[in-house]
Amino acid sequence: MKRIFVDIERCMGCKMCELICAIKHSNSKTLFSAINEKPKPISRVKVVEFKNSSLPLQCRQCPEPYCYFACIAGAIRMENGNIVFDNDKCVHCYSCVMTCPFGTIKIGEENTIHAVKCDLCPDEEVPPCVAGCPTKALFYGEIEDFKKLLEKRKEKCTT
Amino acid sequence: MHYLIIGGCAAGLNCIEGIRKIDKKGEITLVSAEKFPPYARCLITDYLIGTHKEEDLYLREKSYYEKTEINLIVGERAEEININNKKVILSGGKEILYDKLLIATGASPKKLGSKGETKKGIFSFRTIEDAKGILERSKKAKKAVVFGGGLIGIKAGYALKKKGLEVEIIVKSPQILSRVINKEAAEIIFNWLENNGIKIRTGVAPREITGNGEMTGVLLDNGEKVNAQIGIVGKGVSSNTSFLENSGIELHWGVMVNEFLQTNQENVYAAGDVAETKDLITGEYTVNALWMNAQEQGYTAGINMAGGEKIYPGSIGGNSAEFFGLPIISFGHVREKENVEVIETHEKDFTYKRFVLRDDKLIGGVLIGNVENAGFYMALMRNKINIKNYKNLLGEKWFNYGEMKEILESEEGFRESVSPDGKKIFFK
Repeated sequence: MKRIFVDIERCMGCKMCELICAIKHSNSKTLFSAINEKPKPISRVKVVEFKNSSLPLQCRQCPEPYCYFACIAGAIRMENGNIVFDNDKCVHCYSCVMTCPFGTIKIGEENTIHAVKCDLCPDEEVPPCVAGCPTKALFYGEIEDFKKLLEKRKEKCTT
Repeated sequence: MHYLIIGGCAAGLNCIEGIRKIDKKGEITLVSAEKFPPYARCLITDYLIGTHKEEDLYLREKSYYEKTEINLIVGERAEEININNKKVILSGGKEILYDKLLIATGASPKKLGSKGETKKGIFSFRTIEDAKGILERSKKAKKAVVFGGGLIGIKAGYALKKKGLEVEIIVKSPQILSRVINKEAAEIIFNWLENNGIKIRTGVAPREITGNGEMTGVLLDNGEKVNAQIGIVGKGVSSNTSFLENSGIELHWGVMVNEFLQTNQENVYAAGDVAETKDLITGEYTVNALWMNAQEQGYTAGINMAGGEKIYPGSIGGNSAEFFGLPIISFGHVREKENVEVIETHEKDFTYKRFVLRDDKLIGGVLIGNVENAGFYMALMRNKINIKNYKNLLGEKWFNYGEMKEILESEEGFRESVSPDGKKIFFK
């Protein structure tokens, strides 16, 4: 199945993916207006920093997800291998937040306090965060193809 | 192959998912004592508040049971299991033969144990029927008392407060949530609930429910009297095993199962609130009667029943809730006092973090106010990661999956996933 992957060596921690994601999930879909929206649009990806590196973290689409098992509301479903999150069903108990081992589930602000997670933007061919990454650190596709890409990049560096 | 599942909630439903992952054709029958198809039991709070209708609680669309070809029998209870003849007898007299059986009969609320508890107006808080009864009664009631300061009691009190009733929670222990969290954390939640208009009394117990046939109040063991028209009993649950007593299936607090969720009888499995499993952290047998454990156990049992081989690493304690906008998460063993190291922060009034370590490994935690990243800590606990060198980072926002990536990636486990940089990773 297709997932979002990151070439850690290329990630500069610029957080462009966070910005693009928040705009994508805003009402207005433009940076200019999204900034003033209330509640503030929330990015589904979070760039974390560690040991002088950075890493955009987003839902890993686990094959047997803890969040699915923990959800008391039936708001998290498995559909064709993807984990689908139904905001309308969410009762903001945060059981998914409690169990996601990657810590990728975020909480909305006051009047939208339901949980949010990356949905891989099913209406787009390539998730906008991936398309908009200025260093092409993000990749969307099968794991085998991502590994091939890493190999290719390595070769380029050594030759 | 005929799979029979007795019990139609979290474990039973997910057993279907597990079976169908491997066996697309075998016949499956699901029997539920309740009149409804599998529903989100925990959401009876929301049903009571009025944000959810009955249908909103159903965990699957009607078409799901047709698509997965399930014989759904609702409103019938399993009365007896005959292991030798591989047969279950239902309350209506019907006998069903099975090849593989899942016992997922759940648990029942404990009784209050006080005089007058059969009076009209006293309810448990576990089923849609309970919620319907409370809803009807609440129309002409002014005040409700809740017996028990556990999560169920607080959830019931919260729902009734939201409905506009006056609510008082009566707790026998000196603190609320006494079985789940430590005193300091309980005090924070106590203050938050009181600030939001729920009255809580600790250290007292009901002596008698007063009223003539219908509840009008409660007499406490300190001699005080409280007027109330609704009483909710939240004193915990016990596994529904009484119908199994002469079946030959090994029982303790619940149905004893091995790491494949199999009972001492080869073709019989158990999952959910009725099953007694190893606690992942302590390794001791216990009934961790929680939704997430029930779903995972049901799913794992289903896979094993269908011929797969999936180890269930153990159940885990963990509760997550939100009251009046304050999120609260507790996981593992946070009340342990012996041979533990406690790291606590209490940033501001309703923001609190507590981590409990034993031998430099996380065995529990509480997060109040800011709960993001809780699952990362739970993963460290599940995988029993030595965090000796990371103690000063606990609770800090820059302590995250990235920091522990390499250590987590080197672990063995049972649930596979893929890390953001394309490495396989396993969790327990």
